Amino acid sequence: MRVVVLVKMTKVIRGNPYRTDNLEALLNEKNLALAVNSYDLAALEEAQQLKELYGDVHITAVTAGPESAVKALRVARGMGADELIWLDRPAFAGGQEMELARLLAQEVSGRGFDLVLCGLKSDDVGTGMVGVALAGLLGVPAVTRSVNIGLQVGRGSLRVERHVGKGNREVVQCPLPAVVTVERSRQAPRYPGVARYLTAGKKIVRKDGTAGLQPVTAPVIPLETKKAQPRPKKIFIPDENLSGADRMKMIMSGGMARKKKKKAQTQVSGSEQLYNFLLKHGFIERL
Amino acid sequence: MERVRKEMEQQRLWVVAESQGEELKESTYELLTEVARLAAQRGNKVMVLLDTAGDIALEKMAEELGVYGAEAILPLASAGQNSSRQVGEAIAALAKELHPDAVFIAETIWGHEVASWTAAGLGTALLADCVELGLGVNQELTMSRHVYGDTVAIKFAAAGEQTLVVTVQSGLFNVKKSFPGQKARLLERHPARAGVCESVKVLEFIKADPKTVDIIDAERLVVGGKGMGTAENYALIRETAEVLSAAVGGTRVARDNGWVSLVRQIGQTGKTVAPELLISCGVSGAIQHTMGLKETKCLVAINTDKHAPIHKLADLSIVEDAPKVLAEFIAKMKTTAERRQSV
Repeated sequence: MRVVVLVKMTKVIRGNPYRTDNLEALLNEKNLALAVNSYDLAALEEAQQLKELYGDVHITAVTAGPESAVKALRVARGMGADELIWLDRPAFAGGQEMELARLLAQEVSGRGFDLVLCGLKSDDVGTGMVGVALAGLLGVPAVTRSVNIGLQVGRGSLRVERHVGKGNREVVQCPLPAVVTVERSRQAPRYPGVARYLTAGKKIVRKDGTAGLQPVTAPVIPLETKKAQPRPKKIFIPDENLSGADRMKMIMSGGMARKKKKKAQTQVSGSEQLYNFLLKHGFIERL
Repeated sequence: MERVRKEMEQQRLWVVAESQGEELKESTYELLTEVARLAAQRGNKVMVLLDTAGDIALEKMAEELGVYGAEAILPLASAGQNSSRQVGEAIAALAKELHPDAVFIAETIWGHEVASWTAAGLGTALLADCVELGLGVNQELTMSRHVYGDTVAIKFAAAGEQTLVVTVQSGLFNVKKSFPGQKARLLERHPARAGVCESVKVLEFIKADPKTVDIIDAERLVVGGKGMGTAENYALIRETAEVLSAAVGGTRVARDNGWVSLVRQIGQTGKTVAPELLISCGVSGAIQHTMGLKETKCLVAINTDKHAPIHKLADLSIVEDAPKVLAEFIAKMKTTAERRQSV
């Protein structure tokens, strides 16, 4: 089985990002470290587990970007990739996801594949679109947010467990070839083997990543960049249909939003209090 | 037909609604309120696109959504299961024809997928997880999103004629009935079926098991700290968790003593949790621990020290010895369960 894993490097702000309000200093080149995207590590781990489980799996790691992107391939090699492809081109700016998807689709469809694995999204920009766009361009089915991949009997299709929130999972069957985007696994991905990591340089195949692509114009232009403020919380506003007096009352009492705190009552035992509280809030049922 | 097309072309802002059974999700109303506000400022109209796979009474929905500012409702008939690709590609095809200014979707798991397919179908970029919507100097749409792990906010402005695909975080805007008496027009059903995605079949749904679920995802948690004293007492935490079908968590002390593993530690050196209910037993509430509890909806604190900081955060404070309270509580729950069985 031919598995292609898409990997990339992401920019990470070194140290505590809240230490300064000076954005320029924070986003200075010296302050930005490059790290392999954590979701891509999960994808590499998934590919390696498939290899250990089914044997005849050939893993190809693909990355696109400038010289600095090569480290992702080294890590991929350390984690068990057999073939390394580097599409050499200047770094992508924001809003060029489609161009990247086209480049990858060109490469992936050119070499043939059974399964494309990629991270759900990237740590830095994180629109989570490339995997889906790639599936669209290749015309194959896509499964997102996978946490566990296995082959069905006969190996014609995949059995994928998807994370659908609150720890719940949905099991889907998906025919091959397919694109699967991988959710960060709750188990840490393996550590890259040092010997393979160090000798990865010989394995890397450099290709031109700029040929035959028409540039995409981004639909938006950046206006300003500033430090992110903490998420604004919803402010309580009473319903306009209420009468003035009722609205006043709601504001004075803080509406539903403010929690009413219960003072501990000494005459009732602790377990009784706990039981009654849980009952009142519907966490347990009455007899 | 031609007339309907013309009318649809006037609706410059589209909102994709997400259904949950017979209702729409809260995030949809939040988004609709905000987009309707922008539309009123720009003199635009809002169209709501609705996946009708759920059991939704469309007539009633038209009445209801009109009040929030929807001008028209376009039902999309998808196959139901695994509908995000069908809906996304159908919206992309429609948007190619009608060129709306923007398609807004609330950021949920389903919403994000629909947005990705829409953007991919249109061959444009996706503005995911925006936190702010607004208008620029020339009435163009602007939106902010966070990058680098929520540390940097970038504000974008629409440029050119391309349709924007925007997803907006939920829980940021107030729901408001800004247009009382307005009723949305119900348009004809639009088919939303794509060939390739029907090959993906949903086999089963696995409900999270509270014993093994990651504490980040847990809906209920029972957490023990130093006040539990011994490993035997800590077993009471596990038992309580089982009775309430909750997951077990611990503080740094609990982990150091080997009562819980690192994956179940809450706080600065552990994880941040967001449960509906958290019962905190023998935990003093040092900041290193409580910073991991910020998102907790309902907190019960059991601690012998009535001045312990955890009581300041609690919805119910019980000033008693935690092992004693838990043992009594378990006994009570068990007798209730027995009585229920005998009835």
